[in-house]
Amino acid sequence: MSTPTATNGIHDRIRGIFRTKLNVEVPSADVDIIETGLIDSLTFVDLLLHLEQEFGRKISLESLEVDDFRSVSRIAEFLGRPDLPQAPQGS
Amino acid sequence: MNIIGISGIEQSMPFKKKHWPGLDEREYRISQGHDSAAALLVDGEIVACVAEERMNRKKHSGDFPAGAIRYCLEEAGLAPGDIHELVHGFDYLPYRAAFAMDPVSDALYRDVFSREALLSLVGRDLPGFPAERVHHVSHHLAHAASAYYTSGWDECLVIVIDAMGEIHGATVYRGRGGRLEPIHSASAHDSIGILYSLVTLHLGFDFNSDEYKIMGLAPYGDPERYRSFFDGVIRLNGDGSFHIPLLRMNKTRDERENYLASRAFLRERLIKERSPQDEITDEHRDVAASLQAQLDKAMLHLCAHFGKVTGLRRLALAGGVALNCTANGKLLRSGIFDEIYVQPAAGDDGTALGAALQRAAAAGEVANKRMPVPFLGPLHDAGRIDAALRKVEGRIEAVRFANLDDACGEAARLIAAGKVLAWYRGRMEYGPRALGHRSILADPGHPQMRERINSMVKMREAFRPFAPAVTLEQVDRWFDVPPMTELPYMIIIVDVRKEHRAALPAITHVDGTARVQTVSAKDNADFHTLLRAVGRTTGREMVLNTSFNVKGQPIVNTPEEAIDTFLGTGIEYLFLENILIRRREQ
Repeated sequence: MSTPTATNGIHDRIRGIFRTKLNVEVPSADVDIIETGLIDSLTFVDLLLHLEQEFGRKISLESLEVDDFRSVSRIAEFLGRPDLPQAPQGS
Repeated sequence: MNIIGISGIEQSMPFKKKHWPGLDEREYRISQGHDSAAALLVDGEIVACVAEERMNRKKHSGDFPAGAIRYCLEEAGLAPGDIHELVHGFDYLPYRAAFAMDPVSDALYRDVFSREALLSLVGRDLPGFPAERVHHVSHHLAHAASAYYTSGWDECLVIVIDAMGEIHGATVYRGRGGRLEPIHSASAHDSIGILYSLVTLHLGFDFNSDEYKIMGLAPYGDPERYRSFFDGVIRLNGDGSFHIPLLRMNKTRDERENYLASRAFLRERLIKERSPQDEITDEHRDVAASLQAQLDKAMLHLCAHFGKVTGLRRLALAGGVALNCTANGKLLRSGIFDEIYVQPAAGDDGTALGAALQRAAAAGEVANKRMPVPFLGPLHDAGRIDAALRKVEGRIEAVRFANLDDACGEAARLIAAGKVLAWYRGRMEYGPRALGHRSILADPGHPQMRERINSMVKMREAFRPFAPAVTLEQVDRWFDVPPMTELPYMIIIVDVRKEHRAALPAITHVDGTARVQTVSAKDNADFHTLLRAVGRTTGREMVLNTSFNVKGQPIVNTPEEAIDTFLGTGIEYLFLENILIRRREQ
């Protein structure tokens, strides 16, 4: 189980991706980024790529559940799953 | 195998019109899937390729290429049932989840981009065609395949750069041993092609269509004036990529669809938007110049980085941005690569060929050979030409020459006398350029020739230069290139030699460059014969060569279209194969 500090660290890293890589300001960790229209399909694919690079985990676009990416909190939970494969080197 | 590749997405513009009614007509071109085409490979050999616009006569048509497919099948004597694979140069399936972000994108995927949407068109135009024979190749891979498998090189760097594929704006591949390996991709949110098109729209021209006009306008402007603006817009990264924050400003679905925030930024921070009917001023010329300079820089940045990283000295290019002859010329002159090949149908029509090549290569059928001059379209025989002439016999006079040499002799005499003639023969070109089979020709040294052609036929913007076609043997005499430099596709700009610029006013751009086409006896024999004859009458084996069409019309395909265009304009003579046609004196 993650400690609150570790969780905050992951949240910050995810929000950092939104801010610096995607030019998207996410108001809070629980805001629904899809429902509020903060990201579009292109940005979503970009997001997955940056998450893979930042966290070294492989995210399959073809088999993912969009609901897992609705908020910074949900993304952090998703990335914490032990069954998530490692991203290939250099991806 | 018989493989037909296709491009275009028919439902794309209608979907946009339904969901965003009331936009300016030019804004509907901010959409995917224009330039439909079909290409047929038989056992890996290119048999026929044609853009649908030449068949249905709608410029840049994105319609399902039913007419183009029909032609390809006729060319090979095949029936639809003989097609083993029908391959589309788009593959959206991997991005299904990404399009579920909002209801409109979801509908866009379902109604426009999905396999089911394509299959419904196949069912409409090729009834009974088995769905399991329909395949998809991702858009940039199709572009890359069109370049790599026609390059004749076993190993090279392959760079695709366009507005966007499914989600990417540029993709870099290493082509080696008959395979393409992706090594870098850039998001469409950092697409220099989209940026170029947005500025094209901002300057009063058409998005996804008129970018070449901005390229033509650029040499009249001062690239320094807006340099700092564009330096801020396109940020070059150390890893060879670039970042374009301007394209990420759009936050709502409507803004994203039509780049509203990006365009507002251009209005507020660059210059005000020009309407198509407004006069072109220095301000517009300077924006074009600054934009083009930034594109040149970004292309060099991307290509140089991946050339260095891979150590490859041969570069193959495709994608709409690869039609930018100025940027290609800068790349060629940079010396970064020993050789550069730009696939002549670099726009989306070329993805029809690329999609087919990719599937054929996977099946081990492709012998990678350099693309010939792409005379891959319809040929209309003497019977068809005679039938077309009979329909207008009261309005024309026809003189039949015994052979090509005699026809060329007369054409050369007319060109030397300052006449403008249309030159129609053989199979139609694939790709945007007329390369000597559907051309309008004139003497490039004749004073006022540019203005004459513009007023009599092209009705086009006065700032746009015409291009020269020259024999391979004489290219270095007139242009600043090594002897026998092959530039057969009219897709790379070179310098006109300083001492000849004043004598070649119709084809020399204001910056001393020209978009030259070299013509060899091996690859373009009939046109070469004509240029040799012209050399005997003018002293230069060179003509001004522009496409045989009027503004807004696709290049002519059939003899009937050639005659109609001839009679509807001020073109003085028309050669249909070896028949000279002129208007009957009233």
